[in-house]
Amino acid sequence: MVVTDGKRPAGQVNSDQPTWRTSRLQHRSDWFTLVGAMLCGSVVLGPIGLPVLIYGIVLYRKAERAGELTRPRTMSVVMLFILVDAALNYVAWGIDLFPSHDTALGLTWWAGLGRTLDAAYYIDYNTTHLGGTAFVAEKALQIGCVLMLFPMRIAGAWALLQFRRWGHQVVIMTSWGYILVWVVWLSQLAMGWDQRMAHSLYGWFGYLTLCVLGFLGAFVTLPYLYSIDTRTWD
Amino acid sequence: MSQSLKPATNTRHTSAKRQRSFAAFYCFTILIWMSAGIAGVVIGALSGTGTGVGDTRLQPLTAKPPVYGSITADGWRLGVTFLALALLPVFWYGFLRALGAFGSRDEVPSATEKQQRDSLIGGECDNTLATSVAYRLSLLSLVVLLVFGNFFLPYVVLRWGWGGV
Repeated sequence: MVVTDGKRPAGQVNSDQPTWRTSRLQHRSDWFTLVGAMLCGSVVLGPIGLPVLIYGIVLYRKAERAGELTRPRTMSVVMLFILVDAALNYVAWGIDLFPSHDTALGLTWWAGLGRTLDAAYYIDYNTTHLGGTAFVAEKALQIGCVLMLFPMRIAGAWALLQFRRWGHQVVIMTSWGYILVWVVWLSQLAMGWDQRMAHSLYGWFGYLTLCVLGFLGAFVTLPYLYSIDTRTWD
Repeated sequence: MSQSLKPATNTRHTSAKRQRSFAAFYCFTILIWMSAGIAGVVIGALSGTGTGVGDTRLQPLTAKPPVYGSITADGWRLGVTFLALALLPVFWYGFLRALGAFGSRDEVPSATEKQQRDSLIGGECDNTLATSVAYRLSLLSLVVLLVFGNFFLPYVVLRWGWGGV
C-alpha cells in the first residue's frame, strides 16, 4: 500500500503547530512548488525548474518533520502532477499559438518534435496566417486549450491546494474537458494519419509512448478527485 | 454529492458502491486506451506507414525559416508569449474564484483546518483504490513528464540541430 497520510497516527500531528495556511514553511513550499512546476513545464526552462521544484519538496518535508499540520501527501503529489502536466501542454502549445512560433527557439522545439513524433509540426509549419502548425484541427484545439482549458486547470489546481471548494469543482470539470480534448485530438490525428504519422521518425509508436501517455493523468486522478469530501472546505 | 453534514448511516454500503463505480471507470480507461493503441497499429498497417517502427518517410523541412536567428533578437515575441501565458491562469483564477462565490449560498458551518485535513484523510482511507492508483500513477507520470520536459529540447537540438533545420 502506498504511504499516505491516511496511515499516519493522529497523535503525530501537533495541533498547536502552524497549519498550512499559517505555516511559513508550507507557504514557501507551495510557491516554490508552483514556480518549479511551471518552469519544468516551460519546455525551455526545465533545467532551472527542477532544482526549484525539489527545493519546494524539501521545504514540505521540513514542515512535515517539524510536526506542522501539512497538506496530505497524496493530494500534494496528485496536484503537483496536474500542475506539471497542464503547464507542459499549456506552454508548449502556447509557444506554437503565440508569436514565439516564429522564433528560432519555437522552431527548434516544434520542428524537432514534428520530425521526431508528429509531422504536423514541421510540414508547412508557419505558412498559414496564424503561424505555427498548418493543421487546422490542431490549431483549433490549441486555441481552446491554451486560452481556456489549461489556464483554468492550473488555476483550479492551485485553488484546490488551498482547499477551496471551487478549485475542486474546476479540476474535476477540466479533467473531463481534458478527456474530451484527448478523444477529439486522437480522432483528428487518425484522420490526418498519412500527413502526420507517416512522416515522423517514431510515428505512432513514439507518440503513444512519449506524448499520449502524458494524457493519462486526467483518467487516473478523476476517481481520487471524486473521493474527496469537500463539505467542510471554504 | 450531498452537501449535508449529517453522518451517513450506511457509510460502508456507500463506500463499496463507490469502489465499484471506480472499478468501472478504470475498465473504461483501459478499454479506451487499448482501443486507441490498437487502432493506431491497424491504421498504420493499412496505410503501410506511420507505425514508427522503421517505416517512416521523412520529408525535407518545409517550414518558413525563423524571422530572427537568435533568442535575444526576437525578445519581444518570446516576451509577449510568456507574458500572455503567465497572465492567463491569473485571469482564470480571479474569474473562477468570483464564480465560486455562488457556492456560498450553502450554509455550511466553518471548519478548522484540522477538520478539513481529517475529512480529506478520511476520504482517502475510505477509497484506498482511488488513492493508491492516483498516487502511484501520478508519481510515475510526473517522473516521465519531468524527464520529457527537461531533456526533449536538448535531444532535438542534438538530433536535428538548432532552428530545426
